[in-house]
Amino acid sequence: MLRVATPILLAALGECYVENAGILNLGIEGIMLFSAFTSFLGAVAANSSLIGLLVGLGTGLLLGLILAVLYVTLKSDQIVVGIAFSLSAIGFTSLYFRLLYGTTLPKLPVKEWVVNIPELAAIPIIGRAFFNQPFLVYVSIALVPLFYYILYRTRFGLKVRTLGENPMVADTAGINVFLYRYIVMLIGGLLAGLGGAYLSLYQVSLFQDNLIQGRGYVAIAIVMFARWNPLKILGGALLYGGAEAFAGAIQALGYLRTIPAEIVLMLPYIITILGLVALARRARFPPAFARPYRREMK
Amino acid sequence: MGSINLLVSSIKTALSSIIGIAGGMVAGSIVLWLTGFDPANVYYTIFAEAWGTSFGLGNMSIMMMPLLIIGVGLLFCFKAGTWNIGAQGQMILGALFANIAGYALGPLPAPILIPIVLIASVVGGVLWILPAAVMKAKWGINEVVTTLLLNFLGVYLLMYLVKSPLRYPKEYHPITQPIYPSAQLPMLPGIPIHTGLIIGLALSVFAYIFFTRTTLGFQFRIIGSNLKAARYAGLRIPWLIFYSLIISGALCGLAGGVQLSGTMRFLDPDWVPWYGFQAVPLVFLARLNAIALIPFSFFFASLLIGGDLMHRIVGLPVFFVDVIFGLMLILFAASESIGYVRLKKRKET
Repeated sequence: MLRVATPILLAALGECYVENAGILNLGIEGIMLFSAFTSFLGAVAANSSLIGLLVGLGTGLLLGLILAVLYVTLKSDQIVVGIAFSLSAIGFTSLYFRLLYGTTLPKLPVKEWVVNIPELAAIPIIGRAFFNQPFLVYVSIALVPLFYYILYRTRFGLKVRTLGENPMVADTAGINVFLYRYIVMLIGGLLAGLGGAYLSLYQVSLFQDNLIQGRGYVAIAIVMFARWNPLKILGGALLYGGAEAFAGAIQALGYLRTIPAEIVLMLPYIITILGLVALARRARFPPAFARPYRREMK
Repeated sequence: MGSINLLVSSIKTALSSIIGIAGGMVAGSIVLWLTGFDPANVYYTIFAEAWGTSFGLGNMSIMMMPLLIIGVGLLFCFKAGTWNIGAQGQMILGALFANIAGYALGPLPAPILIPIVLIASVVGGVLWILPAAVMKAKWGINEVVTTLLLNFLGVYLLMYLVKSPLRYPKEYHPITQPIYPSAQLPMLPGIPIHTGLIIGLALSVFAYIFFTRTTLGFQFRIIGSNLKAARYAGLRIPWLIFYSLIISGALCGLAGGVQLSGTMRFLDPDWVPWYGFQAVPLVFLARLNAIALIPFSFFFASLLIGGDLMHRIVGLPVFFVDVIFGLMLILFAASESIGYVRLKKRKET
């Protein structure tokens, strides 16, 4: 459950800052897909999953920067660009995956930096979940209180939230709106990249067309029903992770004769939509949400 | 003064579409060149195959009809400022409902059965946008995310239904029972294109009239361009949002029905149509103009068909076309906003 919640949690934490600063980044799905792909390439080429993670991280940063140029400097429509970006990401990755590998799939290197404390992992039920996971799982959990603290208790966090609240006020107060929106886009890109890389290298251990399967959009939904609060995002990610882990367990345990696989696979999406219905009703969006900031605007 | 402004704005209007298309293809050339393909050869092959072969022209109705009908469907929400990114799921459901109606009612005569099949597909499409439309209109829940998520549910639902309850026992592979011949859209006389073309063209014209001549169309445009004005005018905004999404879903469902009844005849479990996403750049490049959708869907369909055939000739996977579509829209959106700033500056000086 923790293991499958990790990519969503990472992406959602990044998106949380992005949305708090008044940007809707639908390109998150594309960033995750690109990073999942490049980290896969990197890991195979260098025969190291850590190098792969770094490549994914770099890809995320770069794409976050490109999207920031489009969203912030060029002030393009964020929904249009986000969708277009994710569409090209599917095209790009599927195209190069075929050109590079054709039909033969390369083998991924052994997963590095997986924490394993055998004595504690032997504890029934919870043992493996807590003491035998890739290090990124622990990192992503540790980021939750850190992100919460930064967002609500530091000047940086206050500035980020002001950007979503009223960018003009922020601008008059001397906050560099453009700079801070670039910073949050880089944070968002980095974490989405990490999430995508984790997914292909540590969770499913392969790459295939459209590997992300809407996890980026799920992350956006979780940020919305968690009402832009990192602590609640952890809850949302665990809810999704629970649904996905449950779906996996049902398949693994061979209950498929009674419950069809496809119905089980629908579960995480249904849970996400129900989460939106239950928790995001009349959610108060940051007022500047999805609007580019222009100085001449009133 | 007014006419000069109009001229400037109409040139500017066309300009961002031109920049989008040309830029997308140039960027695509760079991608090709870096990958070791000859861009001129690839583009030549794409259009030569799409326009110069009978196979290419015959495939026009398979590719163009869904793009055009979904395009009109998306128009209804984009004009009203709402976002239906769930055309994929609605198209699947539309095709499913059309499929069931096409065989379950028995071999009724065509003039009765074809309308029933098409109406069934509309119902399917509406059903698949209804949750998102209700959530948006009633609780203000962002419809971009919900319609996107409903796509995945549609894909899995199709897989499940075709593999078990709707599986046609007479076939070895899991497919649905084909529709009766009387449920199939007839071909147009003389050309290898089915009557779905008439439906698509009629819908574009209808949409054009709807947005320029009717009150509801006008109200859609108001809530799309200026919510504050809409509120002052006392428009029932939640209902208008709801209607725009429902009409959009209905047409995307119809696209699935036309596709099934016109060309596919039955469904297989792994059908994942991408028209719903490809139609987004199409509608924006056509500048949300219903009539412009017709040439643009022809152009996009040509790229898709040519891309598919080119795959076999040049060995470049068809995904290249999706890359161009995405790049076109990104460049369009970017040049659009740059144009806005430029125009603004020119006015000030």
